[in-house]
Amino acid sequence: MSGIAAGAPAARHALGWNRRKLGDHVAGWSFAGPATLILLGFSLVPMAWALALSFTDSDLMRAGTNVGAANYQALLQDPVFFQALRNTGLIVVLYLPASLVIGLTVAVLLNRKVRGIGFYRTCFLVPYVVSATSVGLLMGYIFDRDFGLLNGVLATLGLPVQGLLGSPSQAMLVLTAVFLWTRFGFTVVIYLAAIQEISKEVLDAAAIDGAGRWSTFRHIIVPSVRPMTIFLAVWGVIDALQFFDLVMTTTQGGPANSTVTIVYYVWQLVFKFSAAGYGAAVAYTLFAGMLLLMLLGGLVVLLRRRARA
Amino acid sequence: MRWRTTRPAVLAAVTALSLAVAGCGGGEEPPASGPVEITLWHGQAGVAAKSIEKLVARFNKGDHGIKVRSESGGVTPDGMLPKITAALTSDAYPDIAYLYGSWAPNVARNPKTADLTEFVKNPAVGWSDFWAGEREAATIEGKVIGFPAVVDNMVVLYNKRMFARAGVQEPGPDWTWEDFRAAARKTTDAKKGVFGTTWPISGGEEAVWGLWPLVWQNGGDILSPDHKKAVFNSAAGQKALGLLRDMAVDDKSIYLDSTAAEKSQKLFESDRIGMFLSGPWVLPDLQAAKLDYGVAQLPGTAGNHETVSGPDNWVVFQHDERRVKAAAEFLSWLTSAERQLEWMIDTGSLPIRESISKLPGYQDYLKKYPGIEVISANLANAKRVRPPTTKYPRVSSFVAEAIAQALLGRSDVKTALDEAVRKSEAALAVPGS
Repeated sequence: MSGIAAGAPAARHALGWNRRKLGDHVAGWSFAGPATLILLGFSLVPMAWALALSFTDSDLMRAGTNVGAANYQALLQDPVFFQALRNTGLIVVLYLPASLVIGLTVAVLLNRKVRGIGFYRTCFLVPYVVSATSVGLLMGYIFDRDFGLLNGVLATLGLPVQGLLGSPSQAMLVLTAVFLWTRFGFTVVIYLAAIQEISKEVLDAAAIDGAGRWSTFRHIIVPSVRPMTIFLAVWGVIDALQFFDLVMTTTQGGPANSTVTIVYYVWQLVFKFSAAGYGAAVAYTLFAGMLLLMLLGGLVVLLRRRARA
Repeated sequence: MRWRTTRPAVLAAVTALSLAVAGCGGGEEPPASGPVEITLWHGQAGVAAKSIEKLVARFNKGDHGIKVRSESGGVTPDGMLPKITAALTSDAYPDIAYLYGSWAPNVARNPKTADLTEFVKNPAVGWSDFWAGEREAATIEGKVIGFPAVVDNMVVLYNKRMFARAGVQEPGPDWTWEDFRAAARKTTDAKKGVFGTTWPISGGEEAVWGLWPLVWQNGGDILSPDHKKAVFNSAAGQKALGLLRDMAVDDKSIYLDSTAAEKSQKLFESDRIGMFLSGPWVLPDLQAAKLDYGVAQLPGTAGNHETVSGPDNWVVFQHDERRVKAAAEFLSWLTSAERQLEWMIDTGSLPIRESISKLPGYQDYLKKYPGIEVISANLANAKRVRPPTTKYPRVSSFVAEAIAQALLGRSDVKTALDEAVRKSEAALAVPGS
């Protein structure tokens, strides 16, 4: 008797719990469902599709035939691919340190109580907000070899005129500088938020210990914002590896392929050269490279944490 | 509140909605009767867009049970192939799109591209009234995929004021490339930022198509007849690019446009560039800029003034039989001689039908566009087209690279062309696409 009496409420309880759990599931999925489906539809399915595409000779106009790994093998002998790789690598190597150093410096400078500081902060974010198309068109006029504003100024000052966007050796540098100008506002905002999170006690204690501006910067600010630096570095690498829109709106890869980046090359292959399968292979190679970089980065962070612990 | 339903129902509804969003709507049931609605992507802007939309609006008033929705397609003609490729892949394609003739081989491969071969046999269409080159450009391996839209060819536009100021004689019908070079040198004034002529060095086709007439005039060609070999590094090719290199590097009379050719057009309109190699489509812009321009056929080599031309098509894509038929009916209306004359007067395009020049209004057209008769007569100099192969865009990109290297003086002409041939042949050897 007592067993039944004791068991019945427990069973009822379990049943009620299950029903509530089911309800929670339904509620949860009704919130997460749309986003999940959109993610599946717009990211994962196309990614899987592109992977399948990279093993065919499709041109998107007709279904291609399976060519196995031929596209990936062709990559190894493609001079434009390696040039795109070099160009993209150049952006990463130049952009990343510059964006972190300038971003942090400007963030420190903006972290003070000056009248109208909001205005200055806004100024630095404006280039980030302006569309790449407008920036591209504008920069095309500033950095033109013969009619550009910059060379006009240089000529007026009696300085040697530069090749800029018209020169295969300078075009990529100019685009990297423009890219830095458009993106470092984001770095500043993130760093500024991180700096403002640093507790005042720590800064006061440092001041009492006689830390000057430089040592405060070096020993308090830089270590405190390290998580943000890691985040910004990862973000910056992804951003730089996907460099595309400025190339599209300024040089279209020229002169002489000197500004072809990996993503621009993928676009050219798929939509201009009717080589969608090959383009997908290039895209997947970039993806694999990025994944490898991220894994390496993660490993380094993990090992350092281990070493410290 | 009526819409307050149970949670699973909400979930189902939300899921259905997101599926609809993610799937981009597939199942459009064609109505069996009622007016047929078709979509047109014309890719035009400005005057041309207005003109085509005016014609479409008039067509829609007619009593034929067809309603045409016209829009640019969100791109200029240059961007139409990427756009249509994406649209075909995602099943969101229009019934008609404006596509360059050089893309026809790519587009014709798609099973959704319509077959109008039977339709154009109808005498009412007047298919044989189109120029032969246009009909060829719209017919791929015996299959008619659309209607001729625009035909053009390359001429030299020159700034009369600048020629007078520099004391240069305006080009006559027998002028040569030596004359061209001399005129460019004389109109150049480096101190004032004035150039004799311009050449794009961006990576696109706009940098390349102007080279071909020079190559052809010298007896060379782009690819071998079977499209397996690249032959543009011949002596003819070297002579062609050599002339441009000498003008750019030695004379410094060429403004090298690092962006697509739009910037040099603006400079030409504002008295900064003496001669501009382009086609009839820039005439409305030049008139709007109030430029005192002249038109000449391309300079010749030993009396050969061969030019390059690019017929463009209205390509039809298949949704269902009724829509294909409606699209073809609309296009035969749009490309009829009377409508074309109206479009020509609006936009400065060339006649796409032989019979147009016999219409009474044709004289008004000639009067409105000074120099258009030169461009129209120049159609006779358009003897060859760029190779109709899907590989051409790739080959073109290698040639663009060679042109940039040579004009920037970074590589001699032979090395640059040999390199481009080597890369082109590697691309031509890849089977399939």
